[in-house]
Amino acid sequence: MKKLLVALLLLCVCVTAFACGGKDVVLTEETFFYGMLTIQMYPDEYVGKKISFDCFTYRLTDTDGNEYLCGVRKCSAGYGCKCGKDSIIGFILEYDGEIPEPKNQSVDTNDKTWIHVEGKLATADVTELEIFAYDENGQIDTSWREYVVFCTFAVSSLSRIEDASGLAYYVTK
Amino acid sequence: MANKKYMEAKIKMEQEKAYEKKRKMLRLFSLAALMFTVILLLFMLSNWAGIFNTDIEDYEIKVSGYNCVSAGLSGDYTSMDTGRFGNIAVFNYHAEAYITKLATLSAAVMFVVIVHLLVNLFGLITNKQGVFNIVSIAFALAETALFIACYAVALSINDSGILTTYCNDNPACSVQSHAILPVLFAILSFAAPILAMIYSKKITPPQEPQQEVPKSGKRK
Repeated sequence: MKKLLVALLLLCVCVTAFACGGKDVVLTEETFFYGMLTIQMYPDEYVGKKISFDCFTYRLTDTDGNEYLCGVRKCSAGYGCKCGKDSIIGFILEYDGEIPEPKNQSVDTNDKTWIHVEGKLATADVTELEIFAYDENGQIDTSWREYVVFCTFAVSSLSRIEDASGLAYYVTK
Repeated sequence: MANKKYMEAKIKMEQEKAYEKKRKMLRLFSLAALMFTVILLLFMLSNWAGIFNTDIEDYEIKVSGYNCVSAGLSGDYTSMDTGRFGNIAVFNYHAEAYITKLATLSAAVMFVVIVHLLVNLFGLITNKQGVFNIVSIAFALAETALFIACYAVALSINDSGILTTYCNDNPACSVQSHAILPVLFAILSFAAPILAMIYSKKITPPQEPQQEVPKSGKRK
């Protein structure tokens, strides 16, 4: 019976211990999409926290012609959604050094310019960008506009990933 | 005389045997009540609220009872830790009032179930079913009410607007909850303490054989 009581107490302790979380955020293959989504929803909660992740570089051009160099992954339109609408999720990158140029940007391939970045959210403000969508043939369709939301990420260290075989350019939940 | 005493002792022994048998049976009711509360705790691992998409026949986002309890106890509704919190961050973003209410109710129901479990455990250890059965019925009632509230709040997320903002009004999507399972089980769990109470009233400890009072002689 004592053992049962101890087990119950342990259960209570475990549930309470769930409340304690680490400060640094490491986005892995499993956590990339949901982690990015959470940061976009609650940027205030993550400003100042050290964040690290792997991504590929992507040059985003809005409908006004402004260019933003981003670190992203391709994903479905919503977390858990397999509705066929694809999008990208990630950060606008701010870095003092040189950010490698994107490769095969509009092609569905893993052969991208992969980088590992560490840094912090520069601000809790999000940037909503109006962009032209890609059509079924992978060409830009100027008659179809979409909106994407990005946080700005202040990169403190950046390294190129040569072997990206274990990384997925398309992420799901 | 010796034969009478032997018969009395035999009857007494048989009565005690029958009493002990009934007490053992009563303990089984207490054990069943204990098991019911453990199962109720296990049911909290099930899907408490989730957006089910019939097109993909899967949940797009979901939270379990324990995810809600974790959020309710810690006050953290924005964590990306899906192991502890499930997809509560998404629910909180699109339906904050609903998910905080669900988390508070879930924490409350878990607290009640754990206390109920301890009550049943003490009832079993001390073998004092009488008082504990009444307390157990009260806890079962509270649990049932709280589980019903959890289920109702979980389903009310359908009206929160999350299906518009998160699912773009996709008709294939709806908020569903398995919190109905502990509701049904909590109702069933009433049976154990009620039956135990009825049964315990039928059990009476064997009475001591009445001592023969020696007849007093009349004084002349």
